[in-house]
Amino acid sequence: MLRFFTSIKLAAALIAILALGGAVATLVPQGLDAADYRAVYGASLGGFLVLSGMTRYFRSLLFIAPAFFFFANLSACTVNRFIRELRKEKGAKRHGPDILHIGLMLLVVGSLVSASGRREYAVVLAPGQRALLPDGRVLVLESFDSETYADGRPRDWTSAVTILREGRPEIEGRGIRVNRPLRLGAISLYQDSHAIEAELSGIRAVVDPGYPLVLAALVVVAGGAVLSFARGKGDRKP
Amino acid sequence: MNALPTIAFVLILASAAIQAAFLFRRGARLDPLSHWLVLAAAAALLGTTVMRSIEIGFPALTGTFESLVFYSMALCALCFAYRVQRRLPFIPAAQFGAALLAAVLLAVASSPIAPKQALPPVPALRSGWLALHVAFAFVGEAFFAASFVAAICALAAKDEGRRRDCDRVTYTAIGVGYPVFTAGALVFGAIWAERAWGSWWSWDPKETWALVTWLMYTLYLHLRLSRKREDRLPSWVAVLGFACSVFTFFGVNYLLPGLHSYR
Repeated sequence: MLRFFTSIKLAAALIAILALGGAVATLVPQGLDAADYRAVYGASLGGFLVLSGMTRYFRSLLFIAPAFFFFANLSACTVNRFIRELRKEKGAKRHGPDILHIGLMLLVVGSLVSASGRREYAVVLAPGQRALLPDGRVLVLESFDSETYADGRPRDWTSAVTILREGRPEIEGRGIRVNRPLRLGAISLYQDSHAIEAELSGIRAVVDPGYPLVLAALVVVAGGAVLSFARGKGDRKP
Repeated sequence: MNALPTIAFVLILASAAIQAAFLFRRGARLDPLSHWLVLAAAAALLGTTVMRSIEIGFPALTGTFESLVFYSMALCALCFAYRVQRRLPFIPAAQFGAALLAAVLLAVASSPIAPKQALPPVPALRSGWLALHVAFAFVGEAFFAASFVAAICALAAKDEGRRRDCDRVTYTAIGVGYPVFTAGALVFGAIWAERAWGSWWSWDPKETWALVTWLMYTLYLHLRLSRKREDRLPSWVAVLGFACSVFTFFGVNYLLPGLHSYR
């Protein structure tokens, strides 16, 4: 059983399955109603797509099963390889792939935390209006500024906000801009660029407990990928 | 400024023509000029990017035209570097193929699918993370393009020695491109998406195909590790991986949106 899960051939097969499945999933509209698929693809094919899980691929067994085995294989290979490198008596020890694999494992765990715990709320406010945040604090939109280029195309949107905790200002006059969210601990506030009408500002509040782990994992993955292929003196040619 | 991409295109074609002439000559002598022409093309394309960046007040990496210019520039620079380096076997046919690819990218950039107007970016694109995402992704893809031509040469090779040389170039190109693409396409892309929209990954077609591309090169690396050196399957996967990267850039934008929309 251990040899099966530490097999690099199993890894290759699972990677191929995940790649193929992901590619095919982009060819089928995701998340529509069953009636929509029957209307577009006909009763037989539409029904098959719905039953098979292809219409919600990334939440279906078609994806979750190979992803689960991939994680098991990844974990087993990572431990196996790390121990093997540590025990190496001759030649340089190369832990770049181990770091990359550990980063991927962290990314999978972070993704699961994110997928299960992420919540999103959107609101459209006029200056002076308020909205209740998920943690009980109150968001007050003080002003909304819309900058444009000379040709009238949008350049930037900025919402100046005050955050009240138990009726008292905790943060005053802070700006939320596209690509510059306001971080309030577990909650992040985003200037939503798709809900702009006249003087109204679209603001999105997101709680994602998994993102800090995801971010750390991405850094580890990138670092591991670099270390995996950086060659020192004495390394043999590929 | 508008003339620079055209000048680069002419330089690349001239380089390719000289390389083609020497490819069919007997003897191992390399031409002394073609790599300087491709370097000049890279400089012209860099000039295009810099001048457009100044014009719009932001790194010129936010549109299809600008991305293709940058991609072609990276590939031209890589062609030059490959020609002057001494650590890897030099395969003239691979160099020629890469130059042709750089020319194709510029030809697509000049087509109607890539609007040329230099427009300052809309709010969602005004992000340093986006600039890093695009730059690193296309530098990575330039190495993947190099691996693609080397893999083609490996598959077409008639003797094992030549195939091994081509395979070594393929692996080295992917070895550099993979971490750069990982950082650019996946890491910086996810960071930018979270800062722009509050969601670091949403399985939209572009993101999914970028992941498919990454998985293909991951598959290549694992196959090369686990199979015999004379096996040609890794070379086929390198070819398919590049096809996936091309589909990620073009296919998703121009083929998929007409079929469906995601919720």
